[in-house]
Amino acid sequence: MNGESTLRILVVEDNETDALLIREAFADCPGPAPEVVYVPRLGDGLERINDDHFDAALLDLALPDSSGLDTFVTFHQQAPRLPVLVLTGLEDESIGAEAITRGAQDYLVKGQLPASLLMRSIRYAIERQHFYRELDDRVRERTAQLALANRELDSFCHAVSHDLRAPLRSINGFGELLDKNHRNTLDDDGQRFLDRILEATGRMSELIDDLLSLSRVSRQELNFTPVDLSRLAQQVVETLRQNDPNRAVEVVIEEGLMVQGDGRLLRIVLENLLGNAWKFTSKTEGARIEVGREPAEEGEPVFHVRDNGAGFDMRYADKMFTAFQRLHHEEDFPGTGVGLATVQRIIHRHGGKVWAEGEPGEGARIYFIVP
Amino acid sequence: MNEIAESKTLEILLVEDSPSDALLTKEALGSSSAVKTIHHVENGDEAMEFLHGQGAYVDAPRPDLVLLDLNLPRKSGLEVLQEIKADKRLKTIPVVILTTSRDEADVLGSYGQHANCYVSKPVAFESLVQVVGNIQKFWSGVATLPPNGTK
Repeated sequence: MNGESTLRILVVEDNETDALLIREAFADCPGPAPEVVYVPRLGDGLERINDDHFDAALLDLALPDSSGLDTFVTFHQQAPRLPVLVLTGLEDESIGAEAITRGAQDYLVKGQLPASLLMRSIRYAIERQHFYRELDDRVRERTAQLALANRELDSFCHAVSHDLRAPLRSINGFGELLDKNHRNTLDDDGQRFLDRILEATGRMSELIDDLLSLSRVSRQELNFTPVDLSRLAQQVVETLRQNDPNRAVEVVIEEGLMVQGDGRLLRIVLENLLGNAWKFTSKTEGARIEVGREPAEEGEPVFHVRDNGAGFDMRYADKMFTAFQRLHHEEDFPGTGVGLATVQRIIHRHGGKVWAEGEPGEGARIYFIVP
Repeated sequence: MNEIAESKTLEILLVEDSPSDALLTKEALGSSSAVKTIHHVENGDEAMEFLHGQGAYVDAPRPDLVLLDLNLPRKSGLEVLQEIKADKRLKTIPVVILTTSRDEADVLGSYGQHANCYVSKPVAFESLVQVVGNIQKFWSGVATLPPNGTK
């Protein structure tokens, strides 16, 4: 707060009687007298706040050149950081309340204002505005810091995954050459160890690819267009069938699932969700996968990908979306545990939500909203 | 076979700073009968000397194909590419970018500098053998190359 220094207050009021009353109220105030500047029109007010410093403003809404809430909106737009107390008449008190929701600090009903309260209201308004501003600055600063940290983390992830590839290529390459050209010079143990090494390089390569894909979906700029999820799902399933022609999986895709979003990223969502459903039904008789929309409820449409596969324990429903968290053994269902983290990242970047339901042996249901 | 251009044997210049990667690429190409010689240089300056037949490379042949890594010490792969494509005599040599990077910026940058094709090195050796084999098959068997010896 400004302590003992003189407050500068701008009063925008065209009615001379009202202005006089305010003048008297100020004169009667206890403590040091503020410096008050009176102007009759909104235009004059806007000009003054442009060239001059004020600690607060009293703003009548009914002025010769502007009336109603617009007066406040225009004024507030020009000086968003100046605390404003709106002056209303008895009959339009509600407009004062409305002004507060739009950023005014307070409203004062003309003719009902004891002098003792006027200065207090103004001081509170200044204090509140100051407090909000500080909070606002702090939030802004934290958000910027967070965004920076996220960006750094993503580029770190990208760089590291990238740099890991080169040595991995050497390990795998020379391992393969050893296997191809020199296997007979190794004894049984040696051959077994070599197989382990090659197996591990394959797995690490998958991990790196998935990490890179996770960092890519975080960094890539979104390009919003209408996206036909039904058609995307159809294409993804076709690819799955081509890559795994021996599987018989019944897939039911509801027609006309449209959203606004980034087609490339939403394809990755469906690739992961359908890929999971495909994988986790690999040991299920009469495997079945469904893509559709939940029966109409209030609000945003909720889409689902359902399967009747291995399912999972609901206790771990949240963990599934964390990178590298896996709920199944590698031998049963291979994977890196990055897929659902990628899905979540993409859905969050669309401002949406994704969650999972299921029971062990009863299949999994993944729901998502793309607003 | 008669619809496919007659195979020729290729003089290949491999620009690669990592000795391991160079060795693996050579191994991957190794068994191919379509490769005459793989000349390996480790940085961009050497690559330009080789192409201009300067310094230690006075007797170097003009390569039929350049395999160019992007991440090179000092003179970068993109700079090498730029110099090749800005040189009247060298610009007809096909340059294949062979790099770890899959970054869109690198892909666009390379084609922007008139790379003849962009290939990212796979991690698994078997895939590397396939990829390098395809490059060699395409450039020696499918594509018609500009006449050599215009050095």
